[in-house]
Amino acid sequence: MPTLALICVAMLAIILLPRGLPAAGFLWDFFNGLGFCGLAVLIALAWDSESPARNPRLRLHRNLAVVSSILISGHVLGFLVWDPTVIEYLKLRAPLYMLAGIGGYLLVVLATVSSFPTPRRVLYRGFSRFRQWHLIVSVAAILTSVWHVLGTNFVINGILHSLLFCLLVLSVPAYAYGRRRFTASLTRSAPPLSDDLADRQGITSFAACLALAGVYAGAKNLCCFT
Amino acid sequence: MPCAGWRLRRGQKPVLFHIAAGARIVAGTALVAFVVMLIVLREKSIADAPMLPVNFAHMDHKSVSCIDCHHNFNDSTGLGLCFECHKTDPAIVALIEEQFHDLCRNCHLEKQALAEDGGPTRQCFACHEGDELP
Repeated sequence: MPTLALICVAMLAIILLPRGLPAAGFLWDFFNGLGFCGLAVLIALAWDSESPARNPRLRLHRNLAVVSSILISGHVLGFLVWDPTVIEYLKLRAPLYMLAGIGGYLLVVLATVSSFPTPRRVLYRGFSRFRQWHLIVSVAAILTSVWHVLGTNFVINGILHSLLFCLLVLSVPAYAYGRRRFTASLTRSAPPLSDDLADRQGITSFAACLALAGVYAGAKNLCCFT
Repeated sequence: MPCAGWRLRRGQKPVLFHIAAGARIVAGTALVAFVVMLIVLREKSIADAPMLPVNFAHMDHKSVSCIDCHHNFNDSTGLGLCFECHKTDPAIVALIEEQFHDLCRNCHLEKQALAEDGGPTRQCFACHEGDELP
């Protein structure tokens, strides 16, 4: 939870830097905020992605994956309902960065749905094969999402701003993976979570992300960040 | 390190190994062909797609130099409307979305950054509706 909160706040702070682009209306910025919070949750998921035997917080990991899928669904569906012209960006002739965004969304949903026991047993021959593909799909989802954000050029503006964004989005999963692989487990020492507590933390995270997207949109529109 | 799936496993019959290897090669080729087909279809789709309606009011753009948009009157690239080249010339047709959005949006953003009324910058529907004004 503290990791997720830090990543969310750091991401929105980077976006709201003075070099950020002007506000575009509360709803537009709110739906965008949902997308960024979804990406932040995705990054936070990389932090505690360990095998069930070593990770006492696996249920929270799965709950947060569902939260990320819902937030990104809100980002996509919100824009589609509010501005139906956006459907042009779902067609094959859409710019590649938009297709990358759709691809990233589908990969997040795939990674989430395929991690539940029944689909997992249908799709993968064993747990190690699942873990291998889950890692590949998750990394691809993060990379395509970064391509989408940088390609649209709607919020991230300029080379320094882009580098700062990439540094946050790519360094957290890279650090978590490297530390787990070469030194020590990040979550082994964490206290185990009961299912009930993990569910409550998932719901709290979802509510906090919604509120944060609202605060981001409000701050951008009220305070005239340019 | 070679992929484990490409080695003959203990007890596996060579004929099965070759069938499995062949299936992988066919699947890989099919995937590449699918991606190439998507790229070709995408380019064709961009060229064939009708233009979205655009609400461009000349009266609202009086402060903008005509040449900023109608560059063809200045650089001898023809005398037609924008879309006649940008929608038909194979060399630039794939760039139409990027070029037109950059032209309009960047100008609107510059105005907005100067705290002027710069017109829409993000909402698609704000521009993409039928012409209403001359």
